[in-house]
Amino acid sequence: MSDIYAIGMSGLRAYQGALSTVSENIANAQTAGYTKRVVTMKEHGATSGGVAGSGVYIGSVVRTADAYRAADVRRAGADLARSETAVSWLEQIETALSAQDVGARLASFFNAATTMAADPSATTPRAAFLAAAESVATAFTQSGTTLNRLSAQLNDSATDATGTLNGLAVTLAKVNDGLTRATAGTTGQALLLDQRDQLLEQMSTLTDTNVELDSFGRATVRLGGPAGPLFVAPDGGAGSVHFARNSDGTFAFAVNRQMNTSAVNPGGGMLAGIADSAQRIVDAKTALDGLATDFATAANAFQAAGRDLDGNAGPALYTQDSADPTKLTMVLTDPRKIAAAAPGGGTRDNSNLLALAAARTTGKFEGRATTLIATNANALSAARTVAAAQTSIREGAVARYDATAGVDLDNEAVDLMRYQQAYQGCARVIQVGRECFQSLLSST
Amino acid sequence: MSNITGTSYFFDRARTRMGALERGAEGLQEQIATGKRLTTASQDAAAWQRLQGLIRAQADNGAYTGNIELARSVLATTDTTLGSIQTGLQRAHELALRAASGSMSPSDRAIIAEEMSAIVADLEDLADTKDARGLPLFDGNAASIPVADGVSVVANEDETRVFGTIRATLSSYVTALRSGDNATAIAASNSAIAALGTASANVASLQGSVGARAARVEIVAAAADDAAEIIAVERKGIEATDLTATIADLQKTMTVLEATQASFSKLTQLSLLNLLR
Repeated sequence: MSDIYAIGMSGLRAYQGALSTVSENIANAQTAGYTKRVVTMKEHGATSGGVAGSGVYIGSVVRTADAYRAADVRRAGADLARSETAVSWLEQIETALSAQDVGARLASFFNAATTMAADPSATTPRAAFLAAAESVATAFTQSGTTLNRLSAQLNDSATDATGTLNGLAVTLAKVNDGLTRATAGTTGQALLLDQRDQLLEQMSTLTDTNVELDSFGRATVRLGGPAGPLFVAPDGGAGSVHFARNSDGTFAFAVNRQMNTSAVNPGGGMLAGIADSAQRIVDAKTALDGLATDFATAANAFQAAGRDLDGNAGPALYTQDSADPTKLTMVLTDPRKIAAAAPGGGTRDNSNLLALAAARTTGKFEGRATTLIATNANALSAARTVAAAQTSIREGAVARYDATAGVDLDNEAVDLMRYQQAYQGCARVIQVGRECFQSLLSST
Repeated sequence: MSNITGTSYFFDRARTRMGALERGAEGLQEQIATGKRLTTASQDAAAWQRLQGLIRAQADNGAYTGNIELARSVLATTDTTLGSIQTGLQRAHELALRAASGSMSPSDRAIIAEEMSAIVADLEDLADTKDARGLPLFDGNAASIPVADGVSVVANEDETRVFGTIRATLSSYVTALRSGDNATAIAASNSAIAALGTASANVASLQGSVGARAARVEIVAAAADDAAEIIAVERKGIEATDLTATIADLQKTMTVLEATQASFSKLTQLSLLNLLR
């Protein structure tokens, strides 16, 4: 008969535990990285060959997270982060190039030449031509400087990203250690597993990871696909990611772990986005360099071919920095020295300006400046489209993961009532036991 | 509350959706306020590239329009000046015809010589006429003015082509008239009449040529105006906001946003926890 007390007590304890788990779920409904816990009840087996068992106990506290769905979320997150990073840098490139608008400045330059051709000996159109030439030089220089600055900012961004990634790896190695010692099915283990999943998800927004979980729940992380170098493993702890810029401005990443360095090509996450953007900046700068060189050469050739107001060959209009071709500097300041006339044409001749108009047609400078921006714009709108698609893919993955792992307050309310009733039932069992015992005592 | 997903995710999703709608409405509002649909290249790279071509064509047109104005004004000056020269030459021709008559007395010829000498001075003044740029009008080295791609107009005439030797001829003719010798004066008058006839015909043909060039400038100007209009229309088609469509879009977005907000607040009021007693 005393078994009834024990059974009732075990039930009180078990449902108290279950109620605290539900309360924990409700309390953490908004906690990032928290996965819903459920308790599994186990029956205490009968100690001897009695009729009934000896009550109930909480077998384990189980996290409802689905490892495969979590991997889907990570993969989708890495893809999205790559595109979003690229979009943000491409937008900056677009702003930089459009703000200076080399094409419009070039058009003003050639139109100033057209105006000057109508009255080549007057000072005003000559001065206007020089001002237009100056603004072309400024536009090239500013565009080049901004691209260089963006390229340098990519370094800062990569330093931040690799620093965060390495920090996450160190923490993940500690969580792995903790999981080695944690008892399966305990709240302590659930907490560590939550942390592990959260760390893995944060990592996946930085680079693409390949994750394997062992029986302890410890994570082995490889970077850049299943055959990539080890980054974090249960034995040997965390590695670190480093980056360097190649001579052409592109990025090279490497993983350093246990004295081994292996190159890695990020296929997702912010790091891949940074590498993509670096390539875009390199391409834009190369195109701009070529355009600046061709334009400066054509402008200087125009000057050399003609005669100024004093009948001398025109001096060069620009000098070009040998290290950075977009750095054009105006060296001509005297409007008289613009070589508008052909040799022997006199002060009122404009033949050389007409030759400049022909050079405009063959050089297609403005069209090339427009194409430069349009190429970047095409890449940007493509990246936006991809990012939009990846956003929905990620949302779907998150929704699927959340369907099992997320806390739904309505479900918790149901569980709360269910466990409360069970608890009350157990209390009643004890009461019945007491009454039975009482009737035994009073009957003697 | 939704029971397909977790509560926290439900709130996150609602926030994302309403945020997207708000951003969409903001974008449409900006298109209406600025009147421009296409502001950055990445919205539509192909259209943007075409727009840049049109903007460039407009700038080119602007430069050529300035040149066309100048060419018009210089050609008008040339035409008027040639007209004045022609008037002078014709008057000189009439005077020379009178002076060629044998019944003229030396004193009459002296009066004619006075007027003839005034005409020569006028012609000298006309030869020094300045064009709209403040430079000599009759300068053969003056630049031809570019008025369109590959089209240049010569607006000035060369002094020698305009006058030939007529001014020198008239100067010596004045001396001959003042000589008082009847035979010399008549002979000089006859050769002056011949020279004036040639000079007048030359100026008349130059006037015709200038007129033809002015007509050509007008054709180019009309073409430029037409092109400017077409470009402006095309540009508007590419970059301007279609107000009717955009306002309708905005209205639609706002309606959806309001409905989303309303349903969100209704849904969040529903929770089993509220009903537990």
